Amino acid sequence: MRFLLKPSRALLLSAILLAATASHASASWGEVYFNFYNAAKEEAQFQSDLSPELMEYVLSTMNNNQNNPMTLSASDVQAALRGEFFTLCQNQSETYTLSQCTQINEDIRYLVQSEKEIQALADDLLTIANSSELVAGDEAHRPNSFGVQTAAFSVIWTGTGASTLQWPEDDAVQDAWDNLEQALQSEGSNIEKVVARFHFGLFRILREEQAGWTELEPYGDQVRSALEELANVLDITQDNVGKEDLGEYATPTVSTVKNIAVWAREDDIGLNFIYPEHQPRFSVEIPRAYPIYYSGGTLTGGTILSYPYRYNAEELPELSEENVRKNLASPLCSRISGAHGYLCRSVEDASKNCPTVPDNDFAIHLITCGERETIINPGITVCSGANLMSQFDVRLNGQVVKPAPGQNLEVCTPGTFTTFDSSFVTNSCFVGFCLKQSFNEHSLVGGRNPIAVMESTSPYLSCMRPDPQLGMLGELPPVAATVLPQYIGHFAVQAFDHEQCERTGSPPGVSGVCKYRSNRTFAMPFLSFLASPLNEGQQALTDQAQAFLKDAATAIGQQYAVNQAVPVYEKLIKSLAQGVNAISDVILELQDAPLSTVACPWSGTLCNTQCNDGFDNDGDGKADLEDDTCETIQTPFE
Amino acid sequence: MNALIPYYHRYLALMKRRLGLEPRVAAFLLSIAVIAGVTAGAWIAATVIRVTIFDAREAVDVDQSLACSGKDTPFADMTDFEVIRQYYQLQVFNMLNEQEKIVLETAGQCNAIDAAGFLPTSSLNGFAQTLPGWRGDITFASFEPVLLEFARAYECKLQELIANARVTVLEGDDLPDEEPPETYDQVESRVNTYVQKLEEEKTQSRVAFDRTMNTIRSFQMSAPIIKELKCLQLESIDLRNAMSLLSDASSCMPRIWDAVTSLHERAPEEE
Repeated sequence: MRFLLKPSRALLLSAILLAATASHASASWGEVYFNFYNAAKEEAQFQSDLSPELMEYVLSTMNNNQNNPMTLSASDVQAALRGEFFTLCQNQSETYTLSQCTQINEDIRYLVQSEKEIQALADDLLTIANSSELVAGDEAHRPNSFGVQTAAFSVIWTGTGASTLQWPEDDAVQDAWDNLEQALQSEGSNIEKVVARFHFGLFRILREEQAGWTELEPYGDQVRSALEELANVLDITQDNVGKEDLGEYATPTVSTVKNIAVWAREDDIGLNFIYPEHQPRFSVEIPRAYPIYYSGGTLTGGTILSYPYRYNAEELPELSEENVRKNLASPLCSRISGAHGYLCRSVEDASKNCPTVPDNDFAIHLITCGERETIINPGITVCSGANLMSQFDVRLNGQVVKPAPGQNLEVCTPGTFTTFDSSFVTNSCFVGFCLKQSFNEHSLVGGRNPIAVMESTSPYLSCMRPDPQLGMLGELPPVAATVLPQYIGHFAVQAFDHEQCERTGSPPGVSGVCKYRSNRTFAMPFLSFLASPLNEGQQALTDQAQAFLKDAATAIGQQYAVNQAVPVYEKLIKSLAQGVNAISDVILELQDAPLSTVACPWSGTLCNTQCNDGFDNDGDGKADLEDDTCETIQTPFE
Repeated sequence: MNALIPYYHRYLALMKRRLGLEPRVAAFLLSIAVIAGVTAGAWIAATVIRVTIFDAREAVDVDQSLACSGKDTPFADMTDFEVIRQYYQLQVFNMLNEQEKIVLETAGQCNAIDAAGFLPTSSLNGFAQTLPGWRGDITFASFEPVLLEFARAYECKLQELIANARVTVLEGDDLPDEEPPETYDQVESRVNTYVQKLEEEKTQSRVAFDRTMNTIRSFQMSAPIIKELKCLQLESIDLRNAMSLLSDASSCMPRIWDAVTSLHERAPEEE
């Protein structure tokens, strides 16, 4: 009889620990500072060059504005930014008055200034979100990720949970990888858009593009084919979407481009920034066209804030409801750790948990309906869980031995060959199975089985003193149950909503979305401002909107992500530490357990009632009824 | 836990050599197995708390009453804008990289008894001493406040340069490669350019500072707890390995199912 560890799983564990401690493929923090410094130059210096997207926006907005009689070109806009409004007017075919020139010059500058502020605001919001969320995300090569750390625990203790797959070392994979690295390098300044396109997965974006959502399609063709090749050699296929227990590869470091990582799951492959630094904008448009309040061509309020570009693929008519669910569901919930998180859980309909009241009962009943969650505590039944049992492969004479329902695995039958994933729980269960089988199949005979008689008391069986070790090893924890802090994310949203509604004069919505009221002037001050950038007198509103958005977002971002995660983890880890340390203590104590050569020495008083049972418990040659005094005796073996 | 491993090897070897011959060894083995079984069921039970989490958001003790100038700061004797800017950036760059090493690479001292012993603070202490506004002790959590105080000192130095701009321009120090200005127009124009440059630097460096601090904040905040997690991981792996030795040992149990011990010889009538 032997038992072995499954080699593949052993590799998994080493890989996951490797991933947990691997050095990160990113810019150093000092370099991150300089990246921000250089990017901020554009914000600080008004005359810096405009991005092509912004220039296109300024031209189309100005040339389509009925208050502007000129037809402007890019050089006109640049002249206006330099404050050379004479040049601006001289370039025109018609003659304009000085005040007209000044006005148009100012309009252009104001428009550019507004857009730059928007970009700055977007980048601020991004880093504010980073400040609370980066470490909580489980994206590839993010240093110190909570997700990776806790996944490693799951493997060590139970052998289950998210798996990390070792990166294969073969030439085909290496070639495909080199190819991808070169493709990434060749993208140059387009790299941000390419990463945005493949952020949530190659197959995912291809499905969306196939369905007609083509805004990102122009970016990164070479990277696309390199990713496809890599997916092919790694056997990554979208057929695995929705599979239980998806494995994630421990991808290598990208050496050609900094701050970019490749992630690869069994169902998809993609790219992400290690430290997101900038919010790329694909096309600059007036806010009516943005998805947050865009639906079916009208401003109705929407749900998706995370995309910096038009993302209304959920409305594409080509997709069936099933495909919408599968292909376009929240990217967050397609992630390995994220899918198991609070925000992605499905909540059972509360009404299902309502106690039923008889129809013919006309009394008034106050009943409480609510969500109920079942919490499964590890206990003596831990070894019979289906998840855990599947980790054992027990064979006798080459045949798989499957226990009948309710029966235990007979791992200890002589000749049995057992393999299982080595985790603390599986090993413990193996011991438990073996013990249980021993007690089941082997009748205990007094005086014969050493463990049953504590080695010492035979032949003095009938008057056992209480086991001196009873309860020593299974002490109750000082804190009986771990109570986690309440998850307050939804309260944060409610508070935000309330605040927003107060400012906009709208009634608070019942479901967390502020009801839009069109009879108010400033339903969304910052957006309506953007919708009419040429209006005068909006500056104060901009400042107010920015201040509000910044304050509110800072409050939410900084208070509710890591700030909330840390206390929760703290509780959990303290609880875990209690368990781990207690087990350590027990096992460490074994070091001091002497191998007894005599029966356990003890001295004490035999109790009256139990002694007077007619047997000769004290070994004095008389039945106990006859010498019914209880004596203090010494163990005869001492 | 490492001390356990040779211990178990010793006993495993002992058992292999003596199994069936010396039943008390087997009895010992079985009692270990029982303990392991009990342990498996009761592993949640615990008495010891070793995890120490300290607050990464402690109050900052900075002297707010200091005048905004470069006095007593590392910039005190510097006058050239480029020199000041590069000095500041280099310091920030080095401090950030050092902190990155501490947060992401340095392992926590797993057997430390307090937070100060668990995580190093490195050169932060000496650095804080160069800032006149800094008061208070340095802990791991002091990184951001100390750097913020340094950024404040830098901005105050820039403010000082702005206040002295006219003198600087008159002496030609704003553009060392060019002649000093000769007319009022030249002076005004150069003062404007110089001040605008300083103002832009103030904006630009503050934006970069804030965004960098935001970007590293979640790593900073969670560094202690994640390092504790890593310590617990190591301990868990030790335990897992010990338990795997125990299960290896318990697979020998069929050999002792019918053991006849020297202590408990069967009576002739039991045979």
